[in-house]
Amino acid sequence: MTLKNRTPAAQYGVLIQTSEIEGEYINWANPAQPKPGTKIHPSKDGWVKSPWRTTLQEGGTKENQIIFGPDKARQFRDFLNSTPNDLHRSSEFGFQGSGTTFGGLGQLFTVNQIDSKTGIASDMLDRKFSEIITFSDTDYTASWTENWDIDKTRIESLGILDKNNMFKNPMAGIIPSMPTKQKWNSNDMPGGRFGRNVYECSFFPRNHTSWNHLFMDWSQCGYIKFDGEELIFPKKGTKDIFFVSNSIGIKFTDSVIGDSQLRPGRPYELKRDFHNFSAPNSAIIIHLWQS
Amino acid sequence: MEILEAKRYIQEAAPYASINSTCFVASVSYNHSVLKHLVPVYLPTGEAIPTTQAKTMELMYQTNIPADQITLESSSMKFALDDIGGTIDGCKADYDLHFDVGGQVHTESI
Repeated sequence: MTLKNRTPAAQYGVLIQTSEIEGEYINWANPAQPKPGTKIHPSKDGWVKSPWRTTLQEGGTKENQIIFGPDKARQFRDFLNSTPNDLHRSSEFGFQGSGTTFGGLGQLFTVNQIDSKTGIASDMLDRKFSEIITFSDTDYTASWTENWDIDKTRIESLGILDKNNMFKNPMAGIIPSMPTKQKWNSNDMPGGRFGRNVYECSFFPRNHTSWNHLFMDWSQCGYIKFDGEELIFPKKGTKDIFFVSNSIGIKFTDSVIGDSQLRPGRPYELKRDFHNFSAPNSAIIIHLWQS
Repeated sequence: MEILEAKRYIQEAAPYASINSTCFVASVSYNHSVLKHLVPVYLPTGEAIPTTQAKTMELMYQTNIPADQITLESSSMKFALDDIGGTIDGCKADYDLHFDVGGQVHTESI
């Protein structure tokens, strides 16, 4: 278990920690306390609101396990009986659901138990989690594996992307109030120009003070850029921020400027009405905007 | 669902030594340090020294402990629970920490 290097990059209210790993790498995420104001519902204490966060990686797998324990049997049962569509969407949130628990990235990359394939297809969103991921009632844990390979045929078959390759809610704003174990292995990551990295990304605007302030004022979406294809990336708000999971280029029509290369591990601000990302490399693009 | 926050994390924890019926020492690896740390962990009444990593972690976080038995020494990480990544103040403090000590990157508007 080795962390070779860890580099922070902070700007625009976004903090991205780039963790270069070697071999197996495990993190235990601390649970947040379900205090009044952070619960998603007065009677539900298994999930709490949090600043937006996500991890990004270029290919490879990620294993997740929520440790409920016998004392949290009720919350454990609540989770296994719920469905992805149940989990905390609100039409009042920006982009009609910013901050959902199983957001777009979870749907794209979770290996489901229904057909043992990667992805929770749009027609599975009303199936119970007990059918989709693994629950153990001996130690009260919920476990699932994510496969982050960007396979165009598979991803397009899920029915999650729109015609512009956009999907909603990549960053989670609601997390379990239990310890959660996350595990990566650099040996199953392809590795590229920037090494085998896990990007740990969080966002909370400095001038905002409450969850609803964030959830209603800001919106979020993601794009999948497939290798060999260009992607149109439009501006959506009055302030637009984005970051990427892999190195991709921007095509400028002005031959004097030439192409510009974006790198993972830092946020950018989008100023133009749109950009055209050039064909090489696949990547996940996270887009945050203020209306 | 993604829940990782840019923060200090435990990567591995195991019982290291027994002290008495109310306390044991855990050997803990954090993501920010190569060396393992020895951390005293409070043991609630009737609890045995754990044999699994999950249970060790649970005791360190004091997540399933009756309210009247929760202790507040900083090594238990109980303090950290209220303000670590999952809260607005924790997120901002973490951002400020890295912003101020060289983690700030230049604005790059495109």
